[in-house]
Amino acid sequence: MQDLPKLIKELQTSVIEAGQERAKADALFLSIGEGVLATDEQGIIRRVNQVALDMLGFKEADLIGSWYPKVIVATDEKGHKQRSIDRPITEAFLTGKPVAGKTFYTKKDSTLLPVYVTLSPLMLDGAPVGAIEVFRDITKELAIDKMKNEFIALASHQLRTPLSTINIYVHLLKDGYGGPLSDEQMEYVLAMLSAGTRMQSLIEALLNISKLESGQLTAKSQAVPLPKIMNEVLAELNQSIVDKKLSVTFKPSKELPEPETDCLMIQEVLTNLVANAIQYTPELGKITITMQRKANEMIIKVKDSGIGIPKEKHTMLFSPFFRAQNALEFFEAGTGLGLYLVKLLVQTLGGKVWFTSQEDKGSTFFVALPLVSPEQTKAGDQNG
Amino acid sequence: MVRILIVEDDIALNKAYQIVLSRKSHHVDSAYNGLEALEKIQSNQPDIILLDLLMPRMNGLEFLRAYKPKDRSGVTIIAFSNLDTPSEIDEAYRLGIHKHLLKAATSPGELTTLIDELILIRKI
Repeated sequence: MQDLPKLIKELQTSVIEAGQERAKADALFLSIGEGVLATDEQGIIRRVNQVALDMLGFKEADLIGSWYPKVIVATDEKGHKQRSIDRPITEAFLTGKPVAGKTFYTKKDSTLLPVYVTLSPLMLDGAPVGAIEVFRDITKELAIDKMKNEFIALASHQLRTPLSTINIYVHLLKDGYGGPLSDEQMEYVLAMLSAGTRMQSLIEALLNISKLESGQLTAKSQAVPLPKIMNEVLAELNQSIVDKKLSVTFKPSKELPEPETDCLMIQEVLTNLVANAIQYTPELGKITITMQRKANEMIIKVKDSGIGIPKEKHTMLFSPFFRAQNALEFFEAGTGLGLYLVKLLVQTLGGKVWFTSQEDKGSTFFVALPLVSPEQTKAGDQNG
Repeated sequence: MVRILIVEDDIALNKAYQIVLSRKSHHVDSAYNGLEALEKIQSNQPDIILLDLLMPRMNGLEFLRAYKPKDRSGVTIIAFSNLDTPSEIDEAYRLGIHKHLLKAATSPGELTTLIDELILIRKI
């Protein structure tokens, strides 16, 4: 009984502390500069801040108590509605991990707002008890991105014209149209030719990247005989294979299905991966290429015995203009765009690309290509 | 002798094609825009036209729309440009070009090989 006043005092302190914590959480919730909403374990909206209401044009009463995927409709850029099963909240509740991504929210006046959404599940003993979603308006980012792509496309076109003139006259010199060249003159001309060709591939890569990033280049879909394409790629690159005395083996498994994909895009992917393997493998090295079916995917593997990729650089490998120090020392003339282009192309084809590598031992690049193109899968879903 | 008309506004490039193609003992003539090309064609019908698409006064697509020979089958048109916007290239194909080549990516050797192949196929 003696302890009762003490107990009451402790309880009072706890209540005050809880109140302070609650006030802090409220202040955070209300003052944060991005749209925030909180749902319960069923996805019913329980709280929403003013920024979210302003961005979407809703009133608090429109949202509170409603199932969130229903009142805040998400679509792609063309206005195709995202199914609730594909919304981040479903994945976040299933995995217990935060999910982030770009999407378009439908405002109250039916216009679309591009947003970047991060949804974090609140987990208690492994079960979801609610979710907090933070989203921001990315209209300006998208506009800047569009301007960047337009600028690159325009600049690249403008660069092509003078470069065509330089390249053709260098070719004319080399082919003897201006008279015979001494060995020394030929050496100079070949240096110009090599630099011109390198600049040419840089411009083409930039243009392709800007087209892929802006969605101007979309994948066609036809049955593609991959082994045949790979043999064409190897034939095209044969001279450099012979020059470096590399042993190249290509073993597709028997009776491979022909994936429905974009022939030119996959050819570009294979060319880049094999050219890299050749580039970064010293003389007398080995390149092994395999293709096999695994469930609904085709797995293409390009393995080399080359210089490999330093471990600390693994995360940067698919970034534009990235080249590892050992790559720069080994082969000067790379553009740093090849693997970025490969990543964009494989994504456009609905596939995945990854690698394993050990410095001084070699690298293996993998591409998983869906047997049926993403467009067709979508159409199938709608029919089913 | 095969008659080739080069339609290209860039003077240096136009000259380079003349050098490459005359060496192959073809009869080569030059125009610097679509209008000039139409005039040249009236007096001398070419077998092959090498056509740039981006040109002042009359561009390649406008030329293709304006060019109405009695017998189109006798003429092979190769669009040769640094333009690669699909809509314009598709339009050029609809207007009857045989092939589109990217200027920046085509060496003189590749150009002459293509013309030799055309001559073989079309028996010009």
